[in-house]
Amino acid sequence: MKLSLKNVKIIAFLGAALCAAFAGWQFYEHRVYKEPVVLGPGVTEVRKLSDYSPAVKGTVNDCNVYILDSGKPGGTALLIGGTHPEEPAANLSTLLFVENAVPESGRLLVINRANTSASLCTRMGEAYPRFYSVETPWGKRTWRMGDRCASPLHSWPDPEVYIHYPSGQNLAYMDIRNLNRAWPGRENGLIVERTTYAMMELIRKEKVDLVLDYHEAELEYPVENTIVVHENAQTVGAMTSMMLTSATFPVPIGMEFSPKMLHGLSHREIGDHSQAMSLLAEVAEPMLDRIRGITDEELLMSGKDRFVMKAGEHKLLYAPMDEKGWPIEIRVGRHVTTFMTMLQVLAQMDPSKAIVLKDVPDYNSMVEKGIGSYFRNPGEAPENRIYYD
Amino acid sequence: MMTINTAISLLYYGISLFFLAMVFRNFLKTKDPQEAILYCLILIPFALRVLRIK
Repeated sequence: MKLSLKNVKIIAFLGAALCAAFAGWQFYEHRVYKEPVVLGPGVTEVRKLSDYSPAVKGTVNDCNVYILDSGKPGGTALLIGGTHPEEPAANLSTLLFVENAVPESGRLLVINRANTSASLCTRMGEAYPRFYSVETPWGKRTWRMGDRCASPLHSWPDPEVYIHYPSGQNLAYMDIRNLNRAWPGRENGLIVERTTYAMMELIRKEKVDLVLDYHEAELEYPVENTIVVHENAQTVGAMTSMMLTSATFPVPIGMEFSPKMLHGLSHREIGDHSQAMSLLAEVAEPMLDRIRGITDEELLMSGKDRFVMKAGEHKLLYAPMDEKGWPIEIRVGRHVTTFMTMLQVLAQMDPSKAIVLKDVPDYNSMVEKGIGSYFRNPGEAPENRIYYD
Repeated sequence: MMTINTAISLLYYGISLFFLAMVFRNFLKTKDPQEAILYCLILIPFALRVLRIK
């Protein structure tokens, strides 16, 4: 049977419409998915980032700020997750604090989704999974997989060259959408610069003593399994690294200084533009490696990949890699324990700045039991204790 | 800076809409079935872009 031109056109158009509708639905479903956050017993207040600066009011990056206040004297710490939403151990670690930690002295402020815009799209051309889940005793809990940079739907066009404010340093064009190249931000900049500006305002207004920015990195990258510190956080970083390496982590955690002439990064700019000690923690995430195999949820969560492992056999990586991989339990366990150790060191250095948190699981418990058992069931929580990121 | 970016974004959506309309016009006018299929494929990214889906 020979099809007429009209019929070919109708079939082709319907086929294209079907493809567009299917692809569109996939993108849309990812973008509108809301991540529930069950407030743990330690959360005393939830504010919006725009409460600290109107620069982000009405934008997608006006994220929740979870406040855990003991009501007793002590220091104040800020935990930042979701700077790069393609690094899930970061926001899962901060969430674990929101849903479990109970402060006994001092205050803890937590941001799960620092760059919400970047969590609403995945990296173009990389075939990332749209979601990832963690098994819990009551079922699966799911989060959005994201990109490194904010969505072009919220910040476009990029400049030919991104000129960092206020240093004037030239950076790659897309880094204007990268939250960890936009510190300390500016009030009238593009959305990511506004976000970091608002977070700087938060740090200054809340008189934060210590800021930790959670990240993950590919094993081919030399800044791996380490704490990057501003000079003002040298003691905290060094002591934490030594304590964890000697007694807790099978794979050592290092410490390195924030380069003074590399601008836009949290560990440099927060320390330079506020009173807070500024630190950044990195852990290995094999899915970020360029030489990885199939890029799916399994790789993201198990951290197992035979191609990355092969590179490890040839000593081409900056972190050990074997058939056990880098599962999410180990990555989150390292992040959570690193922060708890920092608080311990901070309290030893200056007891008036002590921040004591209880009910936070230790490294071995997380590795043995998995992290799922530490996430609360939104289905059982009272409505007024559920927020969405 | 925001104003310039917003203006460029609006122009960009205008350009996308223009190309969407032109490709659709070519799709309607062509007598070649292969070209018709090709035009349909080209329409997809422009449609998703104009609708701000991707």
